Amino acid sequence: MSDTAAAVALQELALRKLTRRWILLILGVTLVGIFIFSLLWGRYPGLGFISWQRVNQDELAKLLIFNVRLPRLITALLLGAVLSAGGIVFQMLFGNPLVEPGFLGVSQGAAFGAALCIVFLGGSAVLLQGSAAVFALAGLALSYLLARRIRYGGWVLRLVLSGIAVSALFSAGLGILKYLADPLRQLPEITFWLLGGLSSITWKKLLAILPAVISGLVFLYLFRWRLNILALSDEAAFSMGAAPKRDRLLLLTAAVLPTAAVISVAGMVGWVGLIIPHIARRLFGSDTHLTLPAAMLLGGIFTILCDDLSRSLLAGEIPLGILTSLLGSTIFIVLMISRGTKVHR
Amino acid sequence: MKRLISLLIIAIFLHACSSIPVQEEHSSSASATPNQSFTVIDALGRQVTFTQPPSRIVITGKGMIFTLNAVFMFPEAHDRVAALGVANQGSGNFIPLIDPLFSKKVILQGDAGAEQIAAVQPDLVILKSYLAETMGPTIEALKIPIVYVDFETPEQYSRDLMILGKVFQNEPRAQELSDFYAKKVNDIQMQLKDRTIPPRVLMLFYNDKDGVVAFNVPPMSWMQSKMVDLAGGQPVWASANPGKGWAAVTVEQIAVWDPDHIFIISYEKNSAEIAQKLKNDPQWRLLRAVKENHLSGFPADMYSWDQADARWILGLSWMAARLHPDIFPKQDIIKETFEFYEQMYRVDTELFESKIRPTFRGDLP
Repeated sequence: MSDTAAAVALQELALRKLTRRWILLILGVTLVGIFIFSLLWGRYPGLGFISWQRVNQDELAKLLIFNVRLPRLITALLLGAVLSAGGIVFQMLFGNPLVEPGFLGVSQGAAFGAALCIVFLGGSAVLLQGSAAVFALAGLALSYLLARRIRYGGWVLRLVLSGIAVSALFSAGLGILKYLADPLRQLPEITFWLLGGLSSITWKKLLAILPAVISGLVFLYLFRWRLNILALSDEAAFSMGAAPKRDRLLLLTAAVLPTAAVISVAGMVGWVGLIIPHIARRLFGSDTHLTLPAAMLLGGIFTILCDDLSRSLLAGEIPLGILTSLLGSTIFIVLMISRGTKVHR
Repeated sequence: MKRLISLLIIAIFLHACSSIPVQEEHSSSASATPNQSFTVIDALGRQVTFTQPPSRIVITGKGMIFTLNAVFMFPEAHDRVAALGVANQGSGNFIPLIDPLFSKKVILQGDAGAEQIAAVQPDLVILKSYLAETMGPTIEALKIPIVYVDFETPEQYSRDLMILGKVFQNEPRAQELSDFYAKKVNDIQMQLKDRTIPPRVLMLFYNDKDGVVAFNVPPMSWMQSKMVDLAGGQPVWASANPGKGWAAVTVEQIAVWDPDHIFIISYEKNSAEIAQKLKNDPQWRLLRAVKENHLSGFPADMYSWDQADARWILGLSWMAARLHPDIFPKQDIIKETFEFYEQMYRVDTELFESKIRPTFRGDLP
């Protein structure tokens, strides 16, 4: 390659980087805009916006915005950011674009924990949250311990296998609990929890999950460059100064802890951790330096918009998980059949 | 290292934030006029202070039907209830029949949240007590007063009627309603006082959702179990359901119990038709209750009479007569039902005959 060609290539690379930084900035501004839009949008006093004048004059409107919508929107933002960042981490570390942060028994563990609480402990909100979080982490711990005991295959394969097995165990347990549940009271409650939702979020609940969520997100953001190295083979990663086993475990834990925290208050919200990383990679490539923060921003935007629909489309709440699944799967189909996708035959 | 220290500081800061206590208030606005203000102590023992009688009441959340049917025993409910959930268990909605202002009320979906409730601008929300941790906090965050009720057992029924009486500032009506229930129960108890061996009774909720038939027994703390006791029967399933909801039992277990009386409950179908179908089943024909023609469909109109609904007293009366026909030989359950509707909801003969009686299900004349 001549010096001129190399200079042009470098210029193009720099331009692409600059463009991507601009897109990231636009995403950030969009998120702020959507956040403010959502804060004023809803079903009070009728379907539509609350004017700032009304907020100043109407005490109920003010309380609604600051005590109900604000904690709910922040939770939606964090939920989207956590699931999307977790999705990126899992997909990079497992080299599999179809895994999400609920993998490794986390989602099924949380679902089992919540159902166990509803059926046997009376379904108290605090106990339910605690039980879901404890069993989500138990799912991760079991998967990890099981992977260490498997005597064949690489570390990633062993984790995948143990994750499948632990998820299946918790699924079976969930099935038993559903069978035992009172069909009129407990079963609808389990089903509703499994569909996810943010209608019961208060400042208290948000503050309870905030330490785990922010710590996890900040950790993932600061160590995002390591994901690029850890996506390589163990030998290659080691030669670049990483300790593959230790670093992967740290990043997985940093992805799963906040996931368990948000699931415990929001229930199961599917597809966010799967579809958002795909969109982020489409826009920013596979370099996690920009892809991870982009996924966090996109995840926040997606979840806030879904939650807006959830609380305003009907006179009742539509479970958030239904909307994220509906929109997520639709976007997934569009991504798969869109022109930009290369087909290798 | 610097990063790790920064992370640690952020985590400690956030943890400190999470322990900030969130203030909770249970009273309405402070512009009180002393002569009008009053305090209600609800089912959770909370004191809720009102500066004036609430005039935009919302009744919503799970189990709302039972609360609603109790609230509308108070004539003030027609004017003061501003929004309510859908009170339909599959056989129609009773409230529009008795409330001339029903069309002006806002109908909330079963899963309406704080946002949807706020849109009605209520000055009181009445909820079942088990929603205190789920729905309660977001409504309280709007400083909308909440009164919790239970309406789950006969004892709670009387107490909660008195709570509603206080809310509507119509305590004489609450006392009248409470006395009605107490007198009915007392009359039955007095007539059963010399009974020594209670018949062994099984109440079964029949559920055939998804094409799979399941029989369920209620927990001992529920209205159904209490009703069997009050009607002079002995629940045979006492040890089978230590839980907090319906529990499935097998036909084999039912055969082991082999009770004297079996009552079939269904919330969506006609329990009499289900009972008839079971009577024709060869397996069921071997049971003592079937042989002695003591397998019955539990009565219902728009709502089944076995539940913690206002109509539980009709279910109790009917069951007592079924278990002890020698003691209650002349029971006229249709007349009793009309008197109930007349006294509780001021229903006249025409409305009763044209709209309520046609909805009767179960083993009723």
